[in-house]
Amino acid sequence: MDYFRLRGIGVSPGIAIGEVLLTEGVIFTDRKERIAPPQVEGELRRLKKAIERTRGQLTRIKEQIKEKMGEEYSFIFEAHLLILEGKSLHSDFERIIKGENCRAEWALSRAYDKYKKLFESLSDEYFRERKSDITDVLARIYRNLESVDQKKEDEGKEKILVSHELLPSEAAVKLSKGNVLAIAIDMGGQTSHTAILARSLNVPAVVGLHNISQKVKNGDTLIVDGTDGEIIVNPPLAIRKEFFSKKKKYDDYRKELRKTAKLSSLTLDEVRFIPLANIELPEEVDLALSLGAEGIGLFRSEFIYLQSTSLPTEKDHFSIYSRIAKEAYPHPVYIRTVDLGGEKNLPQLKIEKEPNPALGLRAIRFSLRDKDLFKVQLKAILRASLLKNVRILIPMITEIEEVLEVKLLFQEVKEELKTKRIKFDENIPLGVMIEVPAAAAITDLLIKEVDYISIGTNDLIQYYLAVDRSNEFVSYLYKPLHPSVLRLVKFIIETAQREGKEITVCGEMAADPLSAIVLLGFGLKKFSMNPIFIPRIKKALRSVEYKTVKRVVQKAMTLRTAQEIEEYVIEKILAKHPKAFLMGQVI
Amino acid sequence: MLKKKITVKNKLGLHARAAVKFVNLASRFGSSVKIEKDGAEIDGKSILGILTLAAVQGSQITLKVAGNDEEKALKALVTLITNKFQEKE
Repeated sequence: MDYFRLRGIGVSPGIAIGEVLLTEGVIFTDRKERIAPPQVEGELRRLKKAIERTRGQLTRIKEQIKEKMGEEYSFIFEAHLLILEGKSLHSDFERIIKGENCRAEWALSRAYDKYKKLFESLSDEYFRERKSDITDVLARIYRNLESVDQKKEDEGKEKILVSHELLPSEAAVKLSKGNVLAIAIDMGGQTSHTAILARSLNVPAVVGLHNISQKVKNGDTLIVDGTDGEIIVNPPLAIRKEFFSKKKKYDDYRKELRKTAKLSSLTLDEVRFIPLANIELPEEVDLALSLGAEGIGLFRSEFIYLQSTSLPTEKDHFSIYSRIAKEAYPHPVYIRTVDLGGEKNLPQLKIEKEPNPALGLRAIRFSLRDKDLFKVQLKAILRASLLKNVRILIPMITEIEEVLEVKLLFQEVKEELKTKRIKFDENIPLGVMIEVPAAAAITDLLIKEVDYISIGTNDLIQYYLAVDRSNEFVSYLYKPLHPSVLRLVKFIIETAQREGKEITVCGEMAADPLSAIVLLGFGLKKFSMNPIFIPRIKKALRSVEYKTVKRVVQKAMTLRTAQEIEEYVIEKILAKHPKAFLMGQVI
Repeated sequence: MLKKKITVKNKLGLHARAAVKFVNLASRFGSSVKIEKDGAEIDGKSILGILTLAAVQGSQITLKVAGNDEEKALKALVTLITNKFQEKE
């Protein structure tokens, strides 16, 4: 068993060691194994049995999923069953086995090639992607040719899931069983549905590994380091030991963080701050609360649109929002209306390709173009507001006119619900995200039109500094502590407070201990972030005195560069509070 | 044999979910069902065949139904397509 390491993107922190379980996988043979003509009948029977086993498995999975997660998810297995029953597929197999006197494996491999080419030649992306469905079915038959007991193994033991790609439906099925120690996948990125699901379920995951599914076999031992994004295949004893100690350290750190989560959110001089969570899936609410979140500061509603190939109905929206509102109650839930368009495009939205998506038709601009879609979402949010803990947040506002238009639509929708005698929270707060510098500069005017504001620092900084942080040539310019950024953010926070309105920061600045301390210095009290960062921010803010921070930050604002500010703040804060940045190993 | 030219009107075309419905309905009849699009003809009872047609919204397809219950079958399938597969759009 060869020992080697692979690098990918760690998308869900944590470390796990275990045995590989390959799912799907490009296991199709490239060797044509011949058999004698009298053996052909036996080979056909072997294939038939494998198909029967496959049918049994698919039917069972379909029923299980239907029960556990609803018809939306089980439908995919119905499609798989139909693929399995396809006559042309069966005649392909038979023709190849009989015609070439070869093993069933070779026939499956040939059929796979044929359909792969067929689907890859299609110009429509949706139909091209259906390749994964036929691959899934063929791989299942292929596996069933081998051993009868595979199914049991599949379901019982704890394993590390290795796959070329994991469809959202598949990921949900596999992870919901609770016997997956970790995940390693060829494809995918930080925001893939699988990554989000893994994070919320606390399963370490590394994606973007290119070809791990071809490099490992079932039964190989794997270490998945979701924190550093590394995979170690068949580690020798010494490395195993090293990783056991790393795992222990990580687990201890995690425990420590959980302890912090239960402590009160007060600075040393007892100034109250409120950590909130940014989430993308309803499944994340529990985890967020257990990590110390005192509300959901940002629910990104995009995932509702990514769930299916058709547009979501009011009911689809409502069931998600009411679930989150219930689970988070009595804590507040800020539901951001959809931020689609730009790079997050979907075929069903019919948005033209744009030369400059970051500056194009996205978020509220898109919602105000497709008003019917927007109203469906507003209605669902209103209906979910009965517990009075729901707020509406509008992304990417550029000018006052947009806010006025949104308010008009909002009023229309409220009237509509009233005539239908549907109850909702009449005083549901409406807020806007400040992400566009133009909006930031008119905070004093905007604030009069809304109940609260939320600063999306990631986009705001990119737009303000004219820097695409994913562009390696200019990303060095992306500095949250750039004096101009701090001046702008300070202006927004102070303006909101002067008007007596609530203000939240929900970008990465809120999750970085140093930036968070600076924000506290501006008077910010609500910090919304990826839930896994809440304990470390809580720890940092609990270890400082508000009045010291305020004084230090005020002085820092007279400095000229991001670096000077960083050094000055760290030095002065540490002088007074030596423990402020003592975070142990940071996730 | 009966033939009928028809336009796929639902937003997503003959996508997987629609194809499942089509195959399930077609399989209820004894008649053979073929779909022709741009010169390619496939078995209307095969989901793979339907998916490889890549019939998006606005595609013109021809249904060819032959057998004892061809009239009933054609009527049912045409209704399914014109009703946009009962999709909530």
